[in-house]
Amino acid sequence: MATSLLPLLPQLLLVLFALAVLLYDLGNEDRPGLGSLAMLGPLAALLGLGIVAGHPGEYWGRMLKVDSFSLFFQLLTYAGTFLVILLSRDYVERQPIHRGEFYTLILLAGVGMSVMASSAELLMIYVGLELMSLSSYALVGMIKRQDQSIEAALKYYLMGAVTSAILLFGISLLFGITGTTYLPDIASALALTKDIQGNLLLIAAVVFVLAGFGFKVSLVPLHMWTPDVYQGAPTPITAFLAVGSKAAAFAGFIRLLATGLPAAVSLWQPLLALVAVVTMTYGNMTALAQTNMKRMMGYSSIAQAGYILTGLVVFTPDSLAATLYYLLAYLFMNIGVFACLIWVANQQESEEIAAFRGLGQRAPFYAVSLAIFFLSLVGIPPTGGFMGKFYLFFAAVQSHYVWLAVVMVINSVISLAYYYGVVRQMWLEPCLPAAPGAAAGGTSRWSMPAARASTSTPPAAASSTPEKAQSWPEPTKPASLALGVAVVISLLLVLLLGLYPQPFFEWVGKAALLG
Amino acid sequence: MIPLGYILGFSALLFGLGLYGALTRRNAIRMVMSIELMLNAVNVNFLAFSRYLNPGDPRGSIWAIFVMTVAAAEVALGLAIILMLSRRQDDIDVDKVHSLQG
Amino acid sequence: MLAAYTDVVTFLLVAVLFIAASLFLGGLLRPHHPYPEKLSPYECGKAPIGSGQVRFKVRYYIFALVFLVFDVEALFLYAWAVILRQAGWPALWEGIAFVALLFVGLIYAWRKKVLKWV
Repeated sequence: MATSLLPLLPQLLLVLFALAVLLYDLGNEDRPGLGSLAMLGPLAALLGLGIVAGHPGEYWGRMLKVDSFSLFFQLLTYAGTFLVILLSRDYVERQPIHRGEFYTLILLAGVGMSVMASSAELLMIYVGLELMSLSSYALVGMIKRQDQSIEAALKYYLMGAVTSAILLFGISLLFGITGTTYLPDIASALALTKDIQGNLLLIAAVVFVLAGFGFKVSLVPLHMWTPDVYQGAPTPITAFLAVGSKAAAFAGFIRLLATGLPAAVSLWQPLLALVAVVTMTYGNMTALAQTNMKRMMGYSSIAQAGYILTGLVVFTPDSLAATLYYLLAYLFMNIGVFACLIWVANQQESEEIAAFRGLGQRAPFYAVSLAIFFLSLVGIPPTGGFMGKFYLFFAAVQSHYVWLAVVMVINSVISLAYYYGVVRQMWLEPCLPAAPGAAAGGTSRWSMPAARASTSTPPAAASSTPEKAQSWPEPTKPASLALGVAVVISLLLVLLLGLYPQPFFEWVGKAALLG
Repeated sequence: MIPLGYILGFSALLFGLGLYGALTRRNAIRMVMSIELMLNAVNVNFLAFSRYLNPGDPRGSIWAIFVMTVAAAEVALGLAIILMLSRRQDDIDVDKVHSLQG
Repeated sequence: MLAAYTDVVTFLLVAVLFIAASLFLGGLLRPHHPYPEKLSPYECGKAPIGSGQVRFKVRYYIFALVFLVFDVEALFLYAWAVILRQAGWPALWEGIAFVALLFVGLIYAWRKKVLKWV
């Protein structure tokens, strides 16, 4: 029995950095370099991952599994965690958020995600899921002085706790049917079961387990939390939920279906096909009506979950590889969108879509980047989103799921409408005309209504006192470097995934074998 | 021994009761209590299956310990969130929390 | 099968009957003269202040949280202690690592002045 700690190295490093951040923050004074310390965590984990990659196998009584699938999702998790901390650096300065706890919880959620991806034992998957969920419930409610944040945390928590209990009940039934919770053993026990279709207990178990994972990836009957939580949470955490949480939950989902329940495919395949169609359509239709950018991204993320789910429904090695590819591209395009959103929200102090008005003139770099991320989300070349969606489409058509592929394309066209709405705001609408401050090159400032009112009253008075005009609140900080870096990284990878997909195809193809 | 079916019926009843409570109660604390019921039903299931189908196998008990741990963490966090809410408003009726809509 | 339960049922019946009978007999024998002072809650012989149902301070809740951590820790340590001899040294180190992780949490709570009664 191998008890070496080596296979757990990346997770251990992440835990150690989380504790280091927590302890370093203990004093009440402002700690310099806290954010940098937190960012070192996922980087160290990536290094550790490089070492672990040379030691595939199963460790610790089969509780821990190192294979190309787990390596892929761990890489995704650490990259996502790193980018989210990068996004947070600016955000936590401007909001009443306790930095040390915030970073610690992000790192711990990252640990949970990577644990979820690197085990074929339901116990570990469940513990990882809970570590991720509990951290994210707390992270969503991190802005203690904002009602919306607390409300989002409460809703997320209550619904999450109910669905995790449902998931557990499903697991306990599976345990009863098969006598194990180790996924390959479940599969071999189910393979011997005669009447899969008629086994009511098994049907209940499968439905309950699917519900538990479906909640985390926001599939339609269990999506209610998504828009509220996306809107109320701190924006970097919204991004974290959209990319990290979703990817990890899909990792568990794929592992469960492909390793544990392939024998019951006739049970879950039609159900998930229906859910996928409803999810995409609902998400896209509702996103059309939104005025708040974060809420719109919430519905968009529901729709995206539907696209990603098609890969699971088709259930061939190719379609699973396409799912992984799409998740990879999805990580970077979403982080990019949220980085731009945070930048605009810093400038305009608003997360409404109207705040993007005239962004094309004010900040062409962010506007163009955002447009490219949107192209990728819709699935238009030359972006990673296009490649991912094309691959999904191709896999679906190949195994005679043409109707599903067609629904996906129709939905992509619908989604074009609401993304275009934002793009139109950025270029075709004039700059905000009336708002003082915004007229002066988009310097509408951060929570200074009194100053704004005094300068905007009579123009004569303002011009007669030029020194008063100079005392207009200046930007508390110049455009943050961290956000720019995040946008550039995401942009490069989205384009790389779109223009040079071959090595990535080979990589996900190997990972999708779950070997 | 009591037949396994009785125990499963009991746990299903407990789970249903919890689920019903979690979906119909409007007081956040009561919802948390209902969720605890659901988790306890899960524990009953695990222990019963472990005892009846595979005596001597500790797996069911291990699951129960982990479920209890997670349940404790979940309740602690839930109460903390509810506490934050109650500091900002008098009521913890979830129907009165609706600033997020659209 | 069900015969195994007759003992339990008998025990339950006797318990319930015994309590009901003693309460009933006590009610028959004791005098019955209620007046306000007698009905008020007993508070060390002084006149009671406020209602009998008071809200607990939220402080207790935070102590309960810290307690809960160690409560659950005991759950794991028990299982660990049972097999410690068989599992040998690696298990000892793992157990120490587990307690150390929780200890970091305790340090955090202590430095955040959670343990201080205000």
